Parts: sequence; structure tokens; C-alpha cells
Amino acid sequence: MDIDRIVEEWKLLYELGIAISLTTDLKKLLHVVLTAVTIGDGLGFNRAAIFLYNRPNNTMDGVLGVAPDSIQEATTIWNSLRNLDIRGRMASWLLNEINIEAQLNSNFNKTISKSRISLQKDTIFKNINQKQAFVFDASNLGGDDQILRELNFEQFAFAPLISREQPIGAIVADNFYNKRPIEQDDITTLFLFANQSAIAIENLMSIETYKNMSKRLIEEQQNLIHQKHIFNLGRAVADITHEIKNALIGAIGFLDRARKISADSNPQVYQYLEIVKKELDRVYNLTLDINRYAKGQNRSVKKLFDLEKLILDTIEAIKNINSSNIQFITDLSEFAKYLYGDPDQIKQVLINLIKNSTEAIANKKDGLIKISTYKEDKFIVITVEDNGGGIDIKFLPYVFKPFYSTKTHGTGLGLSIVREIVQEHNGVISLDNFVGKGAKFIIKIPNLVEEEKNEKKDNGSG
Amino acid sequence: MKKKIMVVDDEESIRFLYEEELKDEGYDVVSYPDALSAIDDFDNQKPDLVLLDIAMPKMSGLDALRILKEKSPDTPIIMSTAYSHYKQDFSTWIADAYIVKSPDLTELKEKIKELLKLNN
Repeated sequence: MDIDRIVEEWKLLYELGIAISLTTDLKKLLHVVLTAVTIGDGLGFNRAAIFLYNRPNNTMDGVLGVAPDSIQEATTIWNSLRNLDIRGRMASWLLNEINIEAQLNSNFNKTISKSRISLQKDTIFKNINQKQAFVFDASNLGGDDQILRELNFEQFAFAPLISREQPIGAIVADNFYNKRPIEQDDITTLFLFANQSAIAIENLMSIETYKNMSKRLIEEQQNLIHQKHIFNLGRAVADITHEIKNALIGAIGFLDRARKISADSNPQVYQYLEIVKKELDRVYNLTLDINRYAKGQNRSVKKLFDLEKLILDTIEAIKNINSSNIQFITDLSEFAKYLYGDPDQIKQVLINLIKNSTEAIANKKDGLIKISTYKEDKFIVITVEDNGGGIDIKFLPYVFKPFYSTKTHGTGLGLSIVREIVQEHNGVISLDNFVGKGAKFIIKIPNLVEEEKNEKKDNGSG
Repeated sequence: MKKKIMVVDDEESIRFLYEEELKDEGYDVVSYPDALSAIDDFDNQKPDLVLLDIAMPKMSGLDALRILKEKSPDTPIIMSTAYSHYKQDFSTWIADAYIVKSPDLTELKEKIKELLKLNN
């Protein structure tokens, strides 16, 4: 290597170094680095990609690829850059004039940025621990370097990104379009530049981590404040509800007495009191709902019970109250006949879901509610579905939120209670919503009986 | 001879409701707004059954329950409260029954009938 070339190389690295050190955004930095690797006045490769080391997953994740998508495009870019003559103002050009949008939209980048290579497998990326850059060819590619094979990497340069002795990623670059052979000089320059870049990338990553951490801390703090508010609000609600409930017990109690007295003597008064009672009952039921919601997390009494019977009994009870012509269908699996849980609470879940469906199909002639049970892996699944047209998409985010109701007379607690109870059973509830057709609530509760049995079996054999 | 029921509840309307409804059922009813006055008057009244609210100022129904059971272990006591969570509380276990307050007194009346029959 002659002295002039060495001077040129150092001047270049100095310029690129300035560009890198002035970049404060991690994403932009990656563009600056790869542009520097690919422009003719920079390192002059045709294509370059950065992979970053994902420590928790032990994978190399493709984050950015910079390359023209065709030889025509390559030629156009090179010509335009040649006319620009950016030597001597490389840093400012890199900082201000990269077309980030275009780089992101290239097919090359799209392929690179969705690639993820496991370091547990056979791959050239295992070389990120080496403190040198390499020239590889297709024969060096490992079984899991399919992505590079797809992109037709034949002869290519590989430079690990090492910061503070730790590998943080790698740059891969080749001359796909002009087929210029990669020389030892190219490799040396790339290695030096990769080291510079690595330190800058790591710094920005640390800053980003720090930013995220403090953001998370702030969020958590706000969460705590929010929770405390909710807690205080909850207590206030419980106290108020208690007072209202007690007042109503007296009021409704005497109302009943007055109603009975007026039944024979004054039918008009009786009729009016009937209405007062109906309205007061509504408020009274609301206090029960709130109370049930508030103690959702309370100890439940769990035992093995006959789920099938509970479902059939509940449907029967609802049919008796609800005289409308809703049709109930059941599809109850014999493998889901028993459930370990609190039967009262599960009954409440069924009642609330069925009530919900009943209201959804209230105006339909052929209203249908289907209740199914089955076993799935370690879960007993209960589904309640209706043909009531589904839930309007704009209400979906609020379905399980307390005190949110789309109904004129709803307390907005029905589905929140359902969710509380399901969570109390370590289960999950989800909703399949078919807009225009119907809604299907799916409850999965761990089949503890099965697990217990298995444990016993395990103990027996071991 | 009419059976006598002692009602202890700090809510005036509820107390009066119990009085009216239980008198209609054919019982003698004496009622008290707090546990202390009820305990003071207990020996004097010798009720056949006590209906005791739990959440009350001055002395809670749970403390009153213990004192009354020490005084007269055979007099049945029904605990009544707005909420069911006291059911899990050990100290309610010595009560003879536990009911959740409601404007519908059917359950209460049945419990009273049942306990008085048992005690005969």
C-alpha cells in the first residue's frame, strides 16, 4: 500500500468519522454507515447490510440493507454522485442528503430487515466474535445463511461490529453489480470503519435504552398513581353503594308493605307503587352489581362441579324468566363435563353472557344462543355465541371495561364481572366478533382436575 | 305464648321494617339501635331469638355475638349484614345463621321459623 493511498484512506475515515459522530439518531446512523460503505467516494461497495446482535434471543437480526435494486438504478445513482463530487464535503453530504425513504423502500432492505439468523445454527455470523474482517464466498455460507444465498451473495466482505470488546453486530457488503473483486485494502478499510461505527451505534443504543428505561419508569409511576386513584375511587364507591343499598332495603321493604295494603283498597295507588318498586329495584340491582364487581377478586370457593348440569340449569332458569322466543342450542362435550371452580361464580358468568346475548338478539325473530363446551389442551373451554349482529367495531375496545355500556339500562358491569371471575379462575376470555352476524365469547379455564390426575400418575410411576 | 325476637340494627328504617314484618308474622319484637343497649336489656327481655346486624358503631355485631353467646348459649342468633364476605370470618361461625340483608325478608322469616322450631 503506497503512502498516498494510506493518506487518502485516513482522510476518508476521518470524514466518515465526523459524519458518524454527529449523528444522534440510531436509525439515521445506520443509514449513514451503510451509505458510507456503498458510495463510490466512500468505501465503494455495491451493496451493504447491517445485522445487529440480539443477545436475549442469540440471533443476528437484519436491521438495514442499502443497495440499488437493479444495475440500471445502480448506474444512475453512481453517475449522479460522480457529477456531485462530494469529496471534501462527505460529512455534510451524509448528514443531510441521504434519501432515507428510498433506501427503506428497496427490495434489498425489505429482505434484509425481516431476516433473523440464529447463532445456534450453522452460519457465517458466528464470526462476529473474531476481531478481523473477512472476504468470504458462497462456499463459506452456512446452512442457515439462506437469506444471503437468496440475495446472491457470492464474494463478499464480512466485518464484525465490535464495541468495548463485545460484538454488537456485523456489516456484510459485496460488489453485486460491477463484480469488482474485493481486495485486502477494501477489507482493512471496512474493518476500521466498522469499528468506528460500532462504538457510535452502541452509544446510541445505550442512550435509547436509557431513554426507554426512564420513559418506562415515568409510565410506571403514572400507573401507580392511577392505580391509587382507582383504589380510592373503588373504596368511595363501595362506601356509597353500602349506604344506598341500606337505604333501599328500608325503602323497598316498606314500599312492599304499602303495595300489599293498597292492592285491594286502591288499585291506582297500587299501580303507581308498582312503578316506584320497579325503578327502585333497578337501583338496588345496580348496587348488587357494583358490589359483585368490587369483590371480584375475593376468595372464591372452588371445587369440582358438574358444569354440564350447571349450564342446563342456568338455561332453564333463564328460559323461565325470559318468555321471548329465543332458541337455545347446546353442544356440551362429555370431556368437559366437570370443571374445577366456583360454581356460583361460573353461573354468574353464564348468566351475564347469556343476558348480554339476549339483549343483542332482542329485536330478532330467529334469535339464537348457542352454548358449547369442549376440552382443548389443558383447558376447559366454554363458549357463548349469538346471532345478534356482533358488536360495533367502535365499541370493541370497551367491551370489558367497567361502567361502560351501550345499553340504556345497563350498568356496564356485566362483562367486567365476567372477566374478573374468569381471571380469578386463572382463565382467559376472548371475543370472536363477526360484525353483521354475531358475537362469540370464549372462556378458557385451566383444567386443574386433569393436571392433578397427571401429577398423581407421575408420582405413581416415579 | 308469642315468641320474642330481639332486633339490633343501627339503621332506623330497617329496624322498623323488621319490627313491622315480624309482628305480622306473629312475633313479639323488641328493637335496639346499638349492641350495648341490647346486651344491657337482654336478661330483662329474655328473647327467644336475636337478629344482629354486624356493621354498627360503638360495638360491632361480632363482639355482641360473642358476649350474648357467653350469656345465653342456647338463644339462637342470626347475623345479618349487607354483604356476604363476613361469612368467611371465623367469628361469625358461632352464630346460628347468617343472612345477607335484602328488601325481601322471605329468607329471614324462614330462618327464624326454622331456628325457633329447633329450639323447642
